[in-house]
Amino acid sequence: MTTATTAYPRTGSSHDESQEVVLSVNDLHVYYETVAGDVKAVNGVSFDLKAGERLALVGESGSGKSTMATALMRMTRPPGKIVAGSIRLGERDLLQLSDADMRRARLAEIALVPQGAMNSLNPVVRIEKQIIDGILDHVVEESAGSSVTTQGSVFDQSTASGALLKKPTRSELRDKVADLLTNVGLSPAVGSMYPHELSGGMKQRAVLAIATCLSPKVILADEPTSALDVVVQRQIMQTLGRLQSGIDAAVILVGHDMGLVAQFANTIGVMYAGRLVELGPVDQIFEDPQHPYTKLLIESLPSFSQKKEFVGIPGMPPRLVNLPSGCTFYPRCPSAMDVCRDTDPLDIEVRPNWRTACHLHTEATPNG
Amino acid sequence: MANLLELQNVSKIFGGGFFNRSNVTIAVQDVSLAIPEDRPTITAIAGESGSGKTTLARLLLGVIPPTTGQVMYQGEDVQRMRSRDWLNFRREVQPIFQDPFEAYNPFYTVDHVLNRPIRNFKLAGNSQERSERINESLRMVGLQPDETLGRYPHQLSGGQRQRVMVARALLLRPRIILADEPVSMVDASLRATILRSIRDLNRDFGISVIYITHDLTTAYQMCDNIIVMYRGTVAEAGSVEEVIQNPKHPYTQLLIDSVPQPDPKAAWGEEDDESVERVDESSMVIDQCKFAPRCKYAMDECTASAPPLYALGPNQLASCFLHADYPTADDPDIGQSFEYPVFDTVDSIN
Repeated sequence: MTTATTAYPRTGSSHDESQEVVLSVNDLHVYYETVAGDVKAVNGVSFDLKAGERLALVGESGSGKSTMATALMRMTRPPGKIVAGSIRLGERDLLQLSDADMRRARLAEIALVPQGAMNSLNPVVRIEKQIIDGILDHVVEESAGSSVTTQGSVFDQSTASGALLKKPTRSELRDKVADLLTNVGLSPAVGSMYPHELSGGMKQRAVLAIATCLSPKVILADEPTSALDVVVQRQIMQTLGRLQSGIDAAVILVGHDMGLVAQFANTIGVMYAGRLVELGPVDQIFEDPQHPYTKLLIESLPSFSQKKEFVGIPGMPPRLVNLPSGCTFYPRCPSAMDVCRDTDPLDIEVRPNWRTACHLHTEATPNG
Repeated sequence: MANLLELQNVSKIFGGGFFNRSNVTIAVQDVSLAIPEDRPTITAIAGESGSGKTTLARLLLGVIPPTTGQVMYQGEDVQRMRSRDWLNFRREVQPIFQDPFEAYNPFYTVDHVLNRPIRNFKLAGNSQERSERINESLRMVGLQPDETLGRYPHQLSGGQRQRVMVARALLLRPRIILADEPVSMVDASLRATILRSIRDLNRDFGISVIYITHDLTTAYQMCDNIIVMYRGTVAEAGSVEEVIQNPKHPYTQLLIDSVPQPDPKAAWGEEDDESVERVDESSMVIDQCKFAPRCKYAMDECTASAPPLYALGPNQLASCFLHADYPTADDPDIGQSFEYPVFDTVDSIN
């Protein structure tokens, strides 16, 4: 990416173990308050995300993955409520920020590619204007750039929170928009078009351009291709991957398409009933899943390789109100044991960077 | 051999009108397909959005008339049927729709969608016969009648709701089930269960199934034959083994290449940003290959005339000039290229 100047410098650029942790979610609880009791949609989720990492959060509907995504942006709305936990992005805990600071952190530090992104563009505003809106909203007016020695693009200078120190000029904005559009595989002429003039894939690309305009550290993509055809889906995901490595951002892909996860992500987090039941490297988990739920999920996937009988997962996910103690997957689990009924399984590190919450692995050292 | 349901050179054109002949969309263009009476089979109709697959389903259901050509059921034109034959057709050809949420009236319990067709078609003499019949078809799709009946739609999960819809179709003892994206709104873990219950209807009761989908992997797993559509035309057709494992039309190849395989080691095609994101108007043009504007092998002849279906083998047809050295299919009916499964046992429920 040509304008791939990060909002502020981060150490290292290779995607390896030594990468700095950009996002650290710790014991996050998000509940929906209902008359029947609290619906524990996210119930104690923790994970770390490194720069350049691609994490996929998968799960059935009702597993809490979308609630999780909204909470990460701190956009949970009543009756939903972030009850406990922390979301550390760089140095700061997003849950402790003032509303104004949080507003500034969105897009500049953590950007959302929403579900059904094709409908998230304003139909009566040109694409160009919609991109610029986000940028201008992140200008810190009072500092006005007077103390800053400007060198290179105005987009290189920003505060730690990702805000721009100086208002970009009209021509700078125009160049930036053209760059962004080119980067997502659109012609700069698209800037002067309205959303209805674009196909679904083009709209999704425009949304990607908006999401990456301030080079965020984390891109949160909530089912970004659910309404697109497979051919377009592949192109969008490849564009997203290219943009991400260009700005060395981390991506969280929320979805249920395991094929997409296998092809795009390098870490997979499997959610079940508000918990992260397994988290680890994609290639190894697909080969040898450790949690029975992950195993069933992978076995139920159809592929071209061989014709087999359809295997589903019997039973239904539990209701999240008044959850009984014990493992939430216990009633559906083929390898359920007595201990599963009463005792919550703890996270257990089965291999390096790979943990699962299942009593089958309790002999191993608990991870706390 | 008699054909159960048959499309004869069917085309459907939307839009246009007397003053505006130019602005038309050819949703389905000259498709012929026969579903035989005595060899129950599962056929997939696959394609992207805009390929005309849903229009084809609506034509097959008789809810929209074809612009040209005929839809025949047991040798009779569906559009000209008299009331009794029409009622019979409506009973024997059953749809299962995409969205199990929209198909219900939220003010009624799910019993309503099961009782109503029995009453409409006068299938049961008394209420005991009726409830036996309902219980039987619920069990066939793997639902417990006492856990399902009497509940409101919102009290059931999406998967259960969709299975009640399958049970409803089954209740009428149909000959053909037309399932339009039956699992696209359902979670992956439940998809398998629903697809298996649809497949069992074919294997156990000899009901032919037409499965309309954009998902080639489930089509491969479930179906015997497949028709790949592109902008209203048949790009490729034949047995799933041939078409999926050895695709010959560039469009089928692109589609199969683009499907993300649930295996991190499988390759996921290479990036080709240019081949899409171009608004092309080929759906308005009759006499050229519709895929030519996106095709990397496009030749001059592709835009000069529409390619016929070439018979690449006993179970594979493709409409692409790359295969012009093969003979053209002598029969326009794509069903001629299908492979029919051999069953161990077929007990008809009719």
